[in-house]
Amino acid sequence: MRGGGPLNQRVTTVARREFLARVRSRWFLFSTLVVPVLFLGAMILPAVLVDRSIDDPKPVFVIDNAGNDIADRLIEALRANEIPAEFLVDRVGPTAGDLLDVESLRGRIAAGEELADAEKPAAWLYLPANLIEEGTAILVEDRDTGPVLRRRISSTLQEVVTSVRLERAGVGAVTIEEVLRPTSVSVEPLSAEDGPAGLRQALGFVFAMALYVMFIVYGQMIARGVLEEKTSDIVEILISSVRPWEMMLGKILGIGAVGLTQVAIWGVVITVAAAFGLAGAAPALAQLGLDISGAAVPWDLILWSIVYFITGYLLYSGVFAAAGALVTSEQDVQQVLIPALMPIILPILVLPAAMQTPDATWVVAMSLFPFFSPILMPMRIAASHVPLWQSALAVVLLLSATLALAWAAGRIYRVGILMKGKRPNLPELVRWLRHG
Amino acid sequence: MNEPVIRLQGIEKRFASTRAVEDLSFELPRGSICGLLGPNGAGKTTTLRIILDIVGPDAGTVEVFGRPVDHETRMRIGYLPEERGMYQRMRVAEHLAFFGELKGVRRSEALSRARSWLERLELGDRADDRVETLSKGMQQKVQFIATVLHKPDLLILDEPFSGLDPINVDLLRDIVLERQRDGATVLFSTHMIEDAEKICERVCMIAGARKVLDGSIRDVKRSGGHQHLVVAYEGDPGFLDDSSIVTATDHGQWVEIRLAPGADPQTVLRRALETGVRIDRFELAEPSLREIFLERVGRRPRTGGNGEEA
Repeated sequence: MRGGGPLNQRVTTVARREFLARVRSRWFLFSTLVVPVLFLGAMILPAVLVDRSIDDPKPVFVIDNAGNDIADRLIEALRANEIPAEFLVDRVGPTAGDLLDVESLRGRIAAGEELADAEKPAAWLYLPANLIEEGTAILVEDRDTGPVLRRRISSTLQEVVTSVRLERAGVGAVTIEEVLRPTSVSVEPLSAEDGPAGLRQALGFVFAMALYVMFIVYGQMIARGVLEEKTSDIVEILISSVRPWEMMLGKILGIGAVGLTQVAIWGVVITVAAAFGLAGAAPALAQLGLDISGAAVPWDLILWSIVYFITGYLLYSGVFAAAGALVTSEQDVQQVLIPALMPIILPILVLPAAMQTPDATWVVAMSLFPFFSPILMPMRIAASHVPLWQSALAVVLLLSATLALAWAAGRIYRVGILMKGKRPNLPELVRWLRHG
Repeated sequence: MNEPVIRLQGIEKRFASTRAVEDLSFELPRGSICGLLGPNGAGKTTTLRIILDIVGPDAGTVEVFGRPVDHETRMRIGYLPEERGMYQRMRVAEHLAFFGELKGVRRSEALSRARSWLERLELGDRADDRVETLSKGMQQKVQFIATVLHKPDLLILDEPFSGLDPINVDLLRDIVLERQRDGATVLFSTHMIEDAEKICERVCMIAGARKVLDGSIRDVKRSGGHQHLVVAYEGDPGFLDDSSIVTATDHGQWVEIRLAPGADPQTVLRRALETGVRIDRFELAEPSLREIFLERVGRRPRTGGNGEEA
């Protein structure tokens, strides 16, 4: 057991200590249990809130200057259009010719005039006299009516106005119904196992974000662990027993194992939660445009994400270990971490744009680049059909970059861990790399 | 068989503009116990770190167990650094087992050794407490255990007794001597010369980055060529102002007198009695290490030494 191999007894001893010290901590228990709850909550809560916002009665009064029974037809259509019954849509007027424009409406409301005898309206829908010709109505809001209601009002009004125009053109009622029958595009993947495309894309986004957070959390854990050993002078004893690279590798492997353990626990928790609870959330998710019925477990995405988590972690860990070795105080950590975090943050900044065009040249190029691939490639695998050679090439490039970086990080680490006082400047750093 | 455990030759080390170690050559025979003496900032810690290859020397060679320091040799060394770091949140026994394991001791064996050591150092009931709950002195003892747990052939201790009460100093000193009787070689640094005088066979004195002298204490004490007197008296110290006395160092309760070569102690005694001084103690003595050290270091400019052998 006294061998000098990369996984010798000293490396595993250090790794086990790092692993146990963290897994036994309160932090681990907390984050392992709380994150899945937050994760599921973040997915379901918005949908539930949207639902609730519709249930909350918000009276909207229609001020009709357009005539043609448009207000009546609109209210009728809205009620037919799944607007909950408590939701008040009613009509005021045309009471008088003086309700001609929005400005005078605003004035009268401001003056405290009761334009409706029911409870205080949330908004007034003003239908101008030239509505049919110009096609513009105005929703004057006192309280926020929310995007769902606005979209409903807008689309229903569109239907009503269109049918009035068709009537004017002499089209019969039956034909109008025929003309207005909705058309929709249903998106389906080529291969049936892929499940609904929208869900996969959303999962890709969630996975990319999760990887991003994990890289940052575990990376900082490495940097802080190295710093702790420096500031508490443990490093002086360690170094008399363990080679610097063994210390670094042991620490990286131990903390990485913490990460994998956590991911495994989350995987089990989420799977169990999905089996019992997620089905109940399906209607809420559907409100957000996510149809999870018939969704299969995206094994390819999960497996690739684990591959990119491990390789990406190994790449970034060297950066963070070197960063921790470079500083001598907690305050300095933040300064050094900012440049270390840049390559992790950049792919997150481009993520929304990249998701729209997952196969654009710039996205493909970025997703092959070692520092960006661990985050961008899982997103692409989810959002598109990435050729195997691309995802494999990204891993090969990642591993090559990891080896190069480990060499540099090892040298910085070796000199840095025993250094006290001032942080080295760039020329000094280069000297460490050359002579370290 | 008799080759030295540690051999330093022409070691030089600079940090930026300061010289930490200058032209240091030094050998430590197997089985000996040697004190590395010197004032604060003399370069003791740097010398120890160079022996352990924690820092590399700018020039010179280091051999431990007859070869350059490598991992195999480090496994046979127990090192107690001056700055004592511990994983504050680990449990005491696990902390010890971890460092024992890093030195190649099997985990179960390391754990049982840790517990019996803790027992011996009166920390048995704290084995499962977190390190952070221990007092500073207790932590120092735990760290000392970590140094000897793997039964090293060479102990390198940097200021091992500083900050401990006399009972614990004796406790640790007994363990050090016990290790030495079992065949281990011991090198420890201290700025408390009296500590070293009590337990060392050998000393190496450095000051201002340079070695002042080294060798067995017997040789060191003989090398001066001067006779020393220890005199305790009551009365006027005027008798000390005499051409046969080179220096008179006041130790408080007594005075250590270094006689000029060829001077007769009896003349000193006669002169003292003539001046009416009452003599409580008058003995021919070996010079104390402190006296030798002051003679070599204190009475000349700190960096002005020429590194002569004692």
